[in-house]
Amino acid sequence: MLSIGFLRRLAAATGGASAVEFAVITAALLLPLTIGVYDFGTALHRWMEVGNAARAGAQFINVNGYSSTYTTTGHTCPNASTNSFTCAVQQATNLGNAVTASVGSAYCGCQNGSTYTAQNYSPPCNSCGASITSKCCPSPQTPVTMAQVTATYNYAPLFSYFGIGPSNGLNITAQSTALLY
Amino acid sequence: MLHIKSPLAGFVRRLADDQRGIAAVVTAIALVVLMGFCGLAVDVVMWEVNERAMQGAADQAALAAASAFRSTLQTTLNQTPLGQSQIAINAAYAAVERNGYPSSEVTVAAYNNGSTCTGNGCLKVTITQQQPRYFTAVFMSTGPTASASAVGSCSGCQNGAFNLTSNGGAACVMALDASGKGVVTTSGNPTMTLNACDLYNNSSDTNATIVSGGGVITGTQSRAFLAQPNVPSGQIQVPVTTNAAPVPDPYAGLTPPTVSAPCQQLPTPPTNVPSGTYCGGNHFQNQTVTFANNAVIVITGGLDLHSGSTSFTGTGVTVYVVSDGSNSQASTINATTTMNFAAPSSSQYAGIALWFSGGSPVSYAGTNGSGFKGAIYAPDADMSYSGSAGSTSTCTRLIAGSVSLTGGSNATFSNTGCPAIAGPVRTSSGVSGTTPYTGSPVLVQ
Repeated sequence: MLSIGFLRRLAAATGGASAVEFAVITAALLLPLTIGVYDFGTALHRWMEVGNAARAGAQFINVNGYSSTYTTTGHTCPNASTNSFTCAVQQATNLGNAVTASVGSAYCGCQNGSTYTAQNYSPPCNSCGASITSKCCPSPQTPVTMAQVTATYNYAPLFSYFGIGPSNGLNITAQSTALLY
Repeated sequence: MLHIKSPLAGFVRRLADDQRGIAAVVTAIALVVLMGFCGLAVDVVMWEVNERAMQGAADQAALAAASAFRSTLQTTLNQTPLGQSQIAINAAYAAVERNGYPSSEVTVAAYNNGSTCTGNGCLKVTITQQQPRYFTAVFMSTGPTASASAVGSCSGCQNGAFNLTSNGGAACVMALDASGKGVVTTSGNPTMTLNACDLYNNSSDTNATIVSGGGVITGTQSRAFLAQPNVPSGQIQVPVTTNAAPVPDPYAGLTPPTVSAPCQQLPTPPTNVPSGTYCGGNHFQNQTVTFANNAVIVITGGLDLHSGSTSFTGTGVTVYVVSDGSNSQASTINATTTMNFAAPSSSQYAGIALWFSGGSPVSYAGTNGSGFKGAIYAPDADMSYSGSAGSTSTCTRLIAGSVSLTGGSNATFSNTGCPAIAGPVRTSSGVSGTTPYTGSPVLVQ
């Protein structure tokens, strides 16, 4: 029963003060820190996964060929039997169709050992020869055809961080460039 | 007893005795350590992320190199192994550099491990990068070095082989030079007849196949596979496939006959001419030459048969003409020349009757008699062809860098009785582009 005497004794008591202080400090400092560590770690992990998705897409077009229409938007792997690009990307992560990937336009470059020279024309990318004298790679350069795969994912943090954090979630993107054959 | 009365001393004593707020102090001290560990954790995670990305880029480069290598099998036979292929090495560098790693951080080298990788058949891509410091900069002077490597190989990769089908499928006319002028008619009313065999034009130039004026490319059970994107105009009376995968030189890996010294003299009369090196192709001009069976005749300085009536007869014979690429060593076979000899059917030069090497121009106007059998092979030459076939044509192939059809001749080509030649696989319908090579790129490690 809450008597006046009990409340007076409670107010005067100093026992357990440390525990109370600890609780207050934990709430104010350690909890945001812990949640922050969780959010930061998860976001980094998602970043790795998005990178994996981009690389999986790039490897797919490297081995299976390029199409500018490749996109995972609006597709889900098992139901997209005709679009195995979607499966390649979505099976690379645990994020399902929350991670999306698309392919940029193919472009040309000329490579000679470790030296790369960018070209400003569209494929086909050719070696120069008797009949091809422009938009081509002179010997000993070899033409390389490339396309960039961009994967994106939106990560919603657990905590708003007093308005400092991103309000619409954190957009995580990763790129990977594939060589086309 | 000493009494300290100063206000400061009193404050210090009160502060020392005071136990209130101790948790805040302990937490503050602990937080510094905690934040340090957090910083270390953040940096280590960033290094892990970087290393994962490096591994991905290395994997991709190794696969790209193997894919590049495989794609060269469309056009090149018996090429250098993957680990030494410049196209594969270039592809590996391009892949890592386009994915954000400067060449100073990348090494690309042939790789052998004695089991899955032998004979430089694998390519190893290694990325080594010093990691950036974020929070660890407080107590580390340099970041750790991370490296990732991948080894790519091309499993079972090889050229395909031509499959002769009822729709043709095997090549009898090939213009090999991917950047050459292709197969064009320049003058006259030439007719090229394909007898159940296919024309392959590797040149991707939009003007690579010109059948102008009265020129005709015709045939039965034959097709034209053109690397160019457009269907050419003119009288092409066989089905045309555009954007065809370029085909390899079927004889690319062949070791040419040895050019020996001193030069041999042509016997008089020139009958039963044995194997050997004969200098100056004009010694054969206006002669009725019969070669010894299975002879390999090497002629240096081009084959000059520009006047008179020359005839070549023999069985199992390969005539190898060497030139230096200049016009002065051009080969000229005039219209009164009769080629009536047959190439060997089984030796290393199986199927090659006339081999023009060195790239000097070749002008071929001779008549291939009924006894002629084999390929006219000039892989580096721009050949002007106005030759004609006899009444029947068995096994007559024309394989050149590029071909200009001229004159009013009726050039007939056929694979009947020819030895098989290597090349890309064609489907039963004869359409190209499905499996121009075999095998697949793999990561060995």
